[in-house]
Amino acid sequence: MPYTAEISRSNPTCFIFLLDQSGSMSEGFGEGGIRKADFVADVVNRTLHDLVIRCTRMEEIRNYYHISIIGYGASVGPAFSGSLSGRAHVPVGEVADLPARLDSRAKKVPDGAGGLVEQQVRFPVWMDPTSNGGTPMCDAFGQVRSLLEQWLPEHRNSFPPTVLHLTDGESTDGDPSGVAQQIISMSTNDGPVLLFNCHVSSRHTMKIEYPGDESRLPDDFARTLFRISTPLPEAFRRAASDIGLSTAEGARGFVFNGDPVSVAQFFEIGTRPANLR
Amino acid sequence: MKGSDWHLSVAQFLLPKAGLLASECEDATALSLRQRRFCVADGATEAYDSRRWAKLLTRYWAASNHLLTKDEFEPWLARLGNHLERRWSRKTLPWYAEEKARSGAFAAFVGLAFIPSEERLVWQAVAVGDSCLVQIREGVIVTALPISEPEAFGYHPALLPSNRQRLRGIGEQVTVASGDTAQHDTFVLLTDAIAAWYLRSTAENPLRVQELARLLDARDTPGFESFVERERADKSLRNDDVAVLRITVD
Repeated sequence: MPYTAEISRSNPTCFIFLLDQSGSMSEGFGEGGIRKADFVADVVNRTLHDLVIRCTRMEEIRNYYHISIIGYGASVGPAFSGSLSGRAHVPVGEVADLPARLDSRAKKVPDGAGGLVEQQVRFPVWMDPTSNGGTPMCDAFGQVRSLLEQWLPEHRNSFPPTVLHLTDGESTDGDPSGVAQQIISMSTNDGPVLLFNCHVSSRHTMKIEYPGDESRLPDDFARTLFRISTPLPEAFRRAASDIGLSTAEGARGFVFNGDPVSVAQFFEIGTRPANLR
Repeated sequence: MKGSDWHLSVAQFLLPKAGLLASECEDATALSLRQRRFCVADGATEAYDSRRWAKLLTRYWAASNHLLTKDEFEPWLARLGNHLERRWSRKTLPWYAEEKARSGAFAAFVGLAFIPSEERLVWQAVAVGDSCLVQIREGVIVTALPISEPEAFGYHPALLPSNRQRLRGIGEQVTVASGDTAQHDTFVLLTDAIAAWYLRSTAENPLRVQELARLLDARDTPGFESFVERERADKSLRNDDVAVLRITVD
């Protein structure tokens, strides 16, 4: 059965964050006028934080994950800030030890009497928001394919890599279907690479989350993204259910016209393969 | 026969998940034959320092002569949790360890004590989470707690926290039970994966359970390791730490 491989230090899995950093990502998003680029950078930093925490055993980090962030806009390439800048695949132990900086944030923790109290905690930042240029999606998927061509031969028995792609608009360098199909035809012995796509919109149009077919999709662009989105394996569907999203069997890892809540949930669901040793 | 004349014999095994070192095993067992107390605990893998927490809980509970009621648990955990967390505050931790330490350690726990009287031997048990006690009489399970069905494992059970802020209401989560002991009764304390296997196999494949009993009787550690490896390989047993502590009453 695919997507059942245990994730361990000898058989790690891989997450690739593929992020649209085009000029339109500077537009406002949802309530409060936060920019899309700011919101996405914040969610990705939180997601990396959670991945690190999941691998923490005492003061040690177990390298269960390899992580890549690829940005595309005015340029295409690795999007880590700070000392990981320019790095493509980074073991989670290095991600943990090398954030670009540690900010301070307020966090609510239990006060012991049934309430919550605010506490200042250290919050690591690995990537900063960027929004410039066009949407060279084909070039970006090409870089993901190259990364996978390097990673897969060394990890034949691993849980397959998960590519989490976020965009707010159509490709400006051609139809990405071909290269994306090449990506989802790659595999480990545990199954094909997972490619999940989240399209976000500043307009308050109706969002479509994790559809099982194309019937409700409004246009060709939505259908293109649907066709290059892989079905959600069982563990990911359980993760969706845990946060109150019910998905049908065969539901694709695809969101169209997503709002800020969709984006946060997309990264939460997409980084929840089971079977961590 | 007086309760104090009954003899208790014990066998126990502890194994880490496949692929991990014995030093990474987060299950723990402890016993005191003098006090007739036996327990196992299962430190939560995703929490901070849970291996040490499971060891502390079992060691202190087995050495104690009380902690058999709901009311006793909260103050006991507060003291023991404070003891554990003081160790952490003496160190400068990296941000990720600090974050984990803030939530504290968690463990499932089950403890069994025998209390002799003039005429009989009574057992008392306390349990929180998905570590289990099974009592077998003449080959039949007569008690299984706090979980009695193999399908009931795999959810998120309440666990014993080290963090004082999370202790509120913990007494309500403690299962307390007691009963009579008959000669030749067997009591098995098990952590979750092997407990689920044990309950399922008793119903579906009792020969496997008898084989486990033979290995425990013989204290056959290599045999037990091969047995667990085989059950994991054919997916009957989830790859998790394994703690088994069996007490036979004669």
